Amino acid sequence: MDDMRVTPSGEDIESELLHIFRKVLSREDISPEGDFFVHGGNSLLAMRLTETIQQSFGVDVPPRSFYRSPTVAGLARVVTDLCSTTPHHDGSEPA
Amino acid sequence: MKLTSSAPDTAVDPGSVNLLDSRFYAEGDPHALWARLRRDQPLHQQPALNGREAFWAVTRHADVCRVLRSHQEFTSRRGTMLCIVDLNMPDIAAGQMMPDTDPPEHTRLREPLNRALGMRSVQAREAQFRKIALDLLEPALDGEVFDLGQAALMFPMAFAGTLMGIPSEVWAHTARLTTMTIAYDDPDYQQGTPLDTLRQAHHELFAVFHEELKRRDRSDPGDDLIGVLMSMRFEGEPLTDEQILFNCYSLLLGANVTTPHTTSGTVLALAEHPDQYARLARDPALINTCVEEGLRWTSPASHFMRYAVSDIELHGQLIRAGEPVTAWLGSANRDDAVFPDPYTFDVARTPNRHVAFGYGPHFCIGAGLARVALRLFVSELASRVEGIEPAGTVDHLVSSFVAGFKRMPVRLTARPAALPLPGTLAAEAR
Repeated sequence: MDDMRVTPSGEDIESELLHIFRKVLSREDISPEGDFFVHGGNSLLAMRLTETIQQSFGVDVPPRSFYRSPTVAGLARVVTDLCSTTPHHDGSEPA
Repeated sequence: MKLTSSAPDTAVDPGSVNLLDSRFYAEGDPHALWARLRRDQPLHQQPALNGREAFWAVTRHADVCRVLRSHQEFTSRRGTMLCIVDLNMPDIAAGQMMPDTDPPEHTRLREPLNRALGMRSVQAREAQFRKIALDLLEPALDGEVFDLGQAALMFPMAFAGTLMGIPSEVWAHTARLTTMTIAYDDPDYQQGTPLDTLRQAHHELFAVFHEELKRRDRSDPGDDLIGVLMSMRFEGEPLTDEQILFNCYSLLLGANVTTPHTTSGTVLALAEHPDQYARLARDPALINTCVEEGLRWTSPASHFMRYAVSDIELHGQLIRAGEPVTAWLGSANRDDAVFPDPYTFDVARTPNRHVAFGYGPHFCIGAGLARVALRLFVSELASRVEGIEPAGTVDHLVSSFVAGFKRMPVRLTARPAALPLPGTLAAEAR
């Protein structure tokens, strides 16, 4: 198959991340600027979060970048950058 | 931490020291403070400071043993390290990982792990373990300056990695992460704030263990420690993934952040006391007592914490229910009520009732393994090395929990021919 990279838009990424945050933290009241740790997050849930992001977007978020800005908005920037530089999207769902 | 060779000056004012200040342990003189506390304030209160909760400190051998032994008076269920107070952070593994439980749950959690860490599995790997000890020593035998402080950081990782079943490709990364968790104030290990550093290290360690869980077949996870955690039952149920991850963490931390510093610190003590090294080399029967003295001398785990279960009177003061109490192992191990000439490093010291492995129900589950590792290393050292010299500035870890080294340059002179080794070491390990 030809290389048909699908790069999700920034908006899609943010809404998917918001969904992941809510699921991992088991609460709905999370805004894009809400701090993961202020909303009940801890290191174990943070590991679950980065794993879920890996499954959803196929990118490994370096823990270091996550801790610099542990919010949906902060992660959206990191994931957007990673998606635009990671050559794995071929139109199919990431493994 | 400075490991003083003469009785320290006790003029220090305990009120001037903040026991949470990690730099004090790297740059100050904790042994001087502890000597003063043992003599004059056997129950010392660190007042609430900068928004941190107040806590108590016991420093005498007898009190340290009581606090660690008596779970009816002092519980482990809320966590056992001062970082909880220092970072104002509840312990997320409270009640779920072995160190954070009390008997009888503790006993039921500990038994299966105890079997997997028992002498039978250690003896079965003796040849492999001897090679690990030799691998640490061999690069130092060329007569050049060798940083044993750095090299020793990987030493227990190889033992624990083998017994746990963690792939060797991630050992270096994993060993660094474990040090990060106890040196979150150390500029060489910090990533952002102290709290971020601790969380990030925990996060990445959980990820390493989780990879291993996902890789394994749950119906047949193997007979190493991770396999035991995955197949054992606790209170009638299998452990949850969280419980497995927490216990992997505690097992690895117990090995990685302690043993390197006894290894380096024992060699440093032998370098500073050539008469003691000569004695050891002449009489290999002293290897076991030398290892025990090295454990006492270095006391790598400085403290453990408990919480008072109910109001308790001690040395004329009242510890209220719920207050944290810290027991200082490094201090107990210099208590002259138990150790004659406690500031003398004596490779033949007998008896040696040190509490470097803790005391009571939470006595280090890896003590047997650590003793084998240290005996293998010290016996290879005595067999192959003629002389040990300090060769530069020693750098200490910035940590209130671990008395440890970052850099410890030494120069070893190899013997023209190795001396014969004493017999099987694992067999003698208690």
